[in-house]
Parts: sequence; C-alpha cells; structure tokens
Amino acid sequence: MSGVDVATDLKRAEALREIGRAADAITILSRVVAGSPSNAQALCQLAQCYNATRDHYSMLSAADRAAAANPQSEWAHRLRSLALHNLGRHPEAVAAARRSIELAPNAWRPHMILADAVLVSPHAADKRIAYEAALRAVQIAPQAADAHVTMGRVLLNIGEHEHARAYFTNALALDPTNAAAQTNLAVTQLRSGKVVAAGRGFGAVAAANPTEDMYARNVGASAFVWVQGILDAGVVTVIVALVVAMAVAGPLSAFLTLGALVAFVAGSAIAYRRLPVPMRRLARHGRNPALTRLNIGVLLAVLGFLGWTAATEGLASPDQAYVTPLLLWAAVLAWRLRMRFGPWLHQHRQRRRYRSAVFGPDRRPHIVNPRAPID
Amino acid sequence: MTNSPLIASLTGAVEAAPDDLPLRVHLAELLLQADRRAESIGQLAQVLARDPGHEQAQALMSRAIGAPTERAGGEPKGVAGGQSGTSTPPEAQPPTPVTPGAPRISPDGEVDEITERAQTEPQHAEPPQHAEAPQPAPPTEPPHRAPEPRRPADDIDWGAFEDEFSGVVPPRFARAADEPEPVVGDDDRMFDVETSSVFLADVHGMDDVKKRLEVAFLGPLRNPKLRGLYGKSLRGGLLLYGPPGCGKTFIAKAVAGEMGAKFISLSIVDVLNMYVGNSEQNLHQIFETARRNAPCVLFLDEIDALGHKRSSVNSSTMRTLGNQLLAELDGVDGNNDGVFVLAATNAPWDVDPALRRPGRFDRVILVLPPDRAARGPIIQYHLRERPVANIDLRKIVGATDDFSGADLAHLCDSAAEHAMHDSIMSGDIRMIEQRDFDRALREVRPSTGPWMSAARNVAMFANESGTYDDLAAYLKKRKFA
Repeated sequence: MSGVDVATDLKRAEALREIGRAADAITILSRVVAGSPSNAQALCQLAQCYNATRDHYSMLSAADRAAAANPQSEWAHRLRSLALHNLGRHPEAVAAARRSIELAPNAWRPHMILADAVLVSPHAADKRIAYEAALRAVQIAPQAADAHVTMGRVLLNIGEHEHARAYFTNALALDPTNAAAQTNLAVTQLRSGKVVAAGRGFGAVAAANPTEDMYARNVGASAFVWVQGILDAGVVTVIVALVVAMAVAGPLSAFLTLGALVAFVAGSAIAYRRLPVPMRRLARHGRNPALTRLNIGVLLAVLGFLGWTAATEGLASPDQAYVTPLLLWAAVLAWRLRMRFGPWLHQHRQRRRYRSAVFGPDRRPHIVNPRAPID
Repeated sequence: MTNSPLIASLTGAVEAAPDDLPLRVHLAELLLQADRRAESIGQLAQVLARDPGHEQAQALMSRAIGAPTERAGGEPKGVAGGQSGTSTPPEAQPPTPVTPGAPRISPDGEVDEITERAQTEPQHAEPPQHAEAPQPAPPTEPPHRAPEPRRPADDIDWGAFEDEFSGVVPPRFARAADEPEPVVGDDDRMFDVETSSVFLADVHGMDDVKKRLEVAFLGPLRNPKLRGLYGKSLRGGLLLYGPPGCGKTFIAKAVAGEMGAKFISLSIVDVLNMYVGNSEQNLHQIFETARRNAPCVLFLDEIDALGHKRSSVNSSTMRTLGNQLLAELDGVDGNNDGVFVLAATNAPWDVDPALRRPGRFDRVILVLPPDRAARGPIIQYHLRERPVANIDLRKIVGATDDFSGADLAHLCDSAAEHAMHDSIMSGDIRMIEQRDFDRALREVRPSTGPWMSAARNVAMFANESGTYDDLAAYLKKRKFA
C-alpha cells in the first residue's frame, strides 16, 4: 500500500467516522494498520472509532499500540486516558492525561482530558486539579465549545450551578447544536426547580439525537419530577384542608375543602397544559410502569380524601376525628420533603466543602469570556 | 402445457400420496417437459430424498439441472450478439416481466445474482470470442475501447470501422511503457447503469407504499397532459425511509421498472471508494451519467451518510460533498429533466434538513416491515426450493410481526438448518416441518427492534412539523408509542 493510498484511506475513514459509520471506518483502518502496523495516526483514528462504537477495550488496545508506535504523540496518550477512564481505571487515566500534557502543554484537549479523569475523585484537592485543568483548557481555547462544556461540568460537579450555567451558555453560543452543553444546561435548570424549561431543553436534545436513549430518559426524568411536584402540591392541599376542617366547623368548612379540591385540580390541569407535548405523554405514561402506578395511587388518594372530607364535613364534628389523618398526611409530607430537599442539602454541603478548597481565597470560579482574545 | 390440468391433477395426487415415487417421477417429467424446471427439480429432490438410488429420477435430475434453458432469453450476459445482425443490443431490450410461477427476485431488497456478478466483474471485459471463427490476436490490440455490442445490419457500425483501422493508423501520441492506458467514456466509473426488470407487482403487500408512489410519483409521470392541467411539477425527489431490510432498494428498482427507466444505484461507500479528494467531482459525474441516460432513476442509498446533517460534520470532504449534492439536485450545473432521484435511509433524522426542502426530497414515504398479507408470499418465496411438509403458514405469519424481509429469510434458513441437523444426526433425511419453524421462531428475533426504539423517540420528540405522522400512527397502532 503506497503512502498516497494510506493517506486516502485515512481521509476516507475520518469522513465515515464523522457521519456515524464508525464500523465502516474500522474496516478501512484495520486494513491500513495491517499494512503499516506502526502507523500511529491510523491507530489513533482506530481508537477514536472504537470509542464511537463504545468498545472501550479495543479502544485501549489501539491507543496502547499508537503510544508504543509513537511515544511522543499526545493524541495517543490522550486517547489512552479516555479509554482508561471509560474502563474505570482512573489512576492510570490520570497518569496518561498528565503524560499527554507533558507532550503538548499548550494544547487545550490534554487539559480537558485531565479534568475529566480527575473529576471522579471525591477529594477536594482533586476537584481543584480538575478545575485548574478545565480553566487552563478554556484559557488556551476560549473559542472551543467543548472546553467550556468541560469547565461547566466541573462546576456542576462541585455544586456551582449558576457558574456552570454560564459556561454551558458560552458553549451554546459557540456551537448551538452541542448536545452535551444543551443537556447539562437543562440539568442545571432541573436542579434549580425549572422543571418545564429543563424538559424543553432535554426534549430538544432528544429530538436532534433520537438514537441516544439517554436523552429520551432525561425527558422522562423531568416529567417524573414534574409529577412529583403535583403530588407534593396535592399532599399540601390535603393537610391544609384537614387543618381548615379542624379549625372551622359546619358548611363553611365543607365549602373551603371543596374549594381546595377544585383549586388543586384546576391548578394541576393548567400546569399540565403548559407542558411540552412529549413531557405530557411521559407524565401520563411514564417510562417506569411501577412508578406510574404509585403516582396514580397517591393522586387518587389525595383526590379521594379531599372529596371525602368535603362530603362528610357537614356530618362530622370538629373534634379529634381529623387528628389521625392529619398525622398520617404530615408523615407523607415529611417523606416527600426529605426526597425533594435531601439532594439539595447534600449539594449545598458539598458546595461549601469544595468552595474554599477549589477556588482559594476568591471563593468563586473564574469566568472566561469565549470572545476574549486568545493568549 | 405450462399450466396443464394434468399437471395440476397430478400435483394434487402427489400431495395426497407423497410416498408414491413413480407418480412423483411422472409429475417431475411432465413439469420438465412444460419447462417448469424449478418445480421439477423440487419433485425430483423429494424422490431422491426417499430413494437416493432411483435411476429414472437421477436421469431426470441430470436433465433438469444440465440442459440449457429454452426461455433464457437470448445469450448470456457479457457475450455480444455477433452472429445475428438483427439482434437487439442488451441495453435496448425491454425489461423482462417476471413469469407467474417462476422464482422471483426476493422482495426483501436483496440484489439479484446477475447484478452482483456484474458488479464484481472487471471493468474491461474481454473482446467477444466466436467459437466458429476464432480471430487471430491483432499485433497491437486496440487498447482504448471497451467491446461494444454489434449494431443492427442497416446501421453503420462506426465502432467496427474504428477497430478495423486502429491497427493501421498509428496513434497520434506514443505512450511510455509504464504509463497507464487512458480511460475513454464511462469506463472508469465505479457504478453500473442497469435496466430494472422488477415491477411494483413483484412487491408483495405494501399497498400503502404503492399507493403513495402512484399518487406522488408514478401517476403524474404517466399522465403528462393531466400533469400540465393541474400544474404538477416533477421536480423533487422521493425519500424512502424505514427499518433496515424492508425492501427500500427493491422498491426503488421497481419504480425504475415501472417507468421503463435506467437505474443507477449509489451509496456513500461508492463515492468514498473513489478518490476522496475528487468526491464532489465523482458525484457530478454520476449525475451527468444519469442525465445522459435519461429517463433514469438515480437511487441514492443511505442518503443520511451522503447528505449527513452538516451541523454535525467537521471534515471538509463531507461538507463539500453535501453542498455538491444540493447543487446537483437543484440542477444548477445541468438539466435534471428525466432524472428521477430516489433516496433511501434508515435514519431520516440524520439527513441534512436542507435536503428535505421543496424541490429536493420533499416527498417522504415510510417503508415498514412487511404486513401479514406480504409475509406469506415472502416466506413461500424463501421456501420455494426447499423440501417442506405440513407447514402452518398462517401460524408463522402470525408469529412474525415486525420481522423484516431479511428476518424472514433468516427464519427460513434457521428452520432449514434445524431440519438438516436432525437429518445428519439421525441419518434419516426428512422434510422441513412446522416443529423446525417453532424452534426457529424461538431463536430468531426481529431485527427492527433498535430501529423502532429510535423511531419511538423520533415520533415523540421530533415530530412537531408532522413529518413523521405516518410513523407515529404506525407506532401507536403497534403499541410501540
């Protein structure tokens, strides 16, 4: 095989990989590698293709061979790091990423890979390394959307949602179709309670990448969170109705309870109508039948109890009859609050823990403007 | 004789008494006389399965397999008709309709054998050799021309004249010994211009698809006056999409057959297999060839690769290729009259939105796995030359929802494999039976599952414009959504 043939095949394989034909590209590259076993570029491209097919063992094998063929190739070491990271061999992934940085300290991708490799560690010192590596990548290449996404992910990981959102927004300004930026931006919205906006964001990514089931699952997750919010509102309504029933006697109590029931149903219907169509369907059917049944059960319990309270108000006396149901529903509310605010408290504690360790005396991350001139 | 009542009656008798070998041999002989060779071979195979030493069956089998076909329709492909001055050149022959009862081309979109062979053959065919009058090899063989079929006698054969004088008149420019021979005409092309012999009638089931094709494409094409009256334009192509293995290529060939048009099929691999740096030039050449051969159906297979979403492509190769495809479809560099562009894809969501604009691929047809009406004939087709007995076709059809044509072929292969394995193990040759299909059905799963999963996401998240309404309706009907 001549040099021209090899160069042509490499171009061909690159074109095929880009259009999602990684398997076809692997066929071509395997042929090239069989003819030139020490062609580091072909081996690196092969590793890239295996990454696209999520065959991480083969990816590592190709990257190892590329690094052996050309030990000075930062690309080969970077691919090794990524493969090792995907295989859960994190210390080796960090070492390979560091080697890649040694070989090309002024390239932004090795820093990005190091940030990713270190980020899985729970230690504050490692979070700082990840932050500094991601910051370096963004400073070197402020026009690279992926660098901003990595920085955003680092900040999201340590609980800095607002700053993470700024980086994801930067990334989308540079590359409006960047799926990772869109997804992570929606994650920040979901975590800050903007469920419908998050669902819309996830839906846009799922529409552009229908073969990636993960994106569809994200829409399902946001629909699930929305349903949980409605149920929480139902539980609160029941408790309010019970308190009113205990405090006010007679037909007025029945009227107020009925009013609470109508307000809950009407509010839920209005909120439902405002949902994007895919979220509505997923809110109705869900992707997990057991959870859907549980949600329907809780909702029926809320509606049934409110209806019963309204209907029997005139007959019952405002005595201790409502104490037991009130306690039961309060327990349900406490459980729901724990489910809802538990993760939030965890993130808050995490943020406090990492803030000084990662950002130093400033205690706030550095925001890089994507339109800043390159150093 | 082909559909003789005697044969029908004997067939019934054989079915009633399958072990009556003399009767079966007699039927096979009559079938052979009626030139129903495939059926005759099937009957003889069953006789020999029961009695491998049956001499009369062996003799008939030799005749059935070895004798030349009377209905083969002229000479084998690749041999020029030199003897007959009045013979029609191969490319001028009308498409041969498939005879009822004769084996048909697989409805699951498989390429027929002749096409496959033609594609694998070298580009420069050997000059025709006549057994009766062998020609001595010329001292310097005419190097620049591919052999051409002989023209009719009343036409001047300029090619023959050129061949005749090429040895006399020296070439204008000499070539170095290691210089490659220059290429003339379309001899360097990597694709074949075929004449399709498949028709929509050969496509089993798929009534909705046929109806859509008729309304959107074939009807306006066949009725130019009405087309003019209603101001209907033929501009724009047709995009077929659906799960893999469901016959999109076969339908495209059938459309070409219905139109009596030439057929050029092209995929991303073909384009990229040519020199990468010249991809856009190669694409232009292909459109030019289609224009020269008008009326011509240009079929772009896997259009999602050729016209991938440009927003997700970084390499200049694919971007310029996408731009060139748009330019060719718009006919900027040439007139596309008579060129009908069909495209197929398994992943319409990866097709560049620019390709879906009016005037390009603005008509979209969903090609689904074969329905119940289509599955029966497809299974029968795949079992046509296999020894089968007591197959409950209705049960198999009922159990193969969502199976693509390719899956059905695989199912039949698996059933045959089980029967053969049993025969080998027991030493007793037996027919393929329902129990083999029951086992195969437990093993073979429809390959359309992953596609349906992606399609469900498409119908749910990416159907705001209503492009995938057909798909959404199908998924709802099949309870995928």
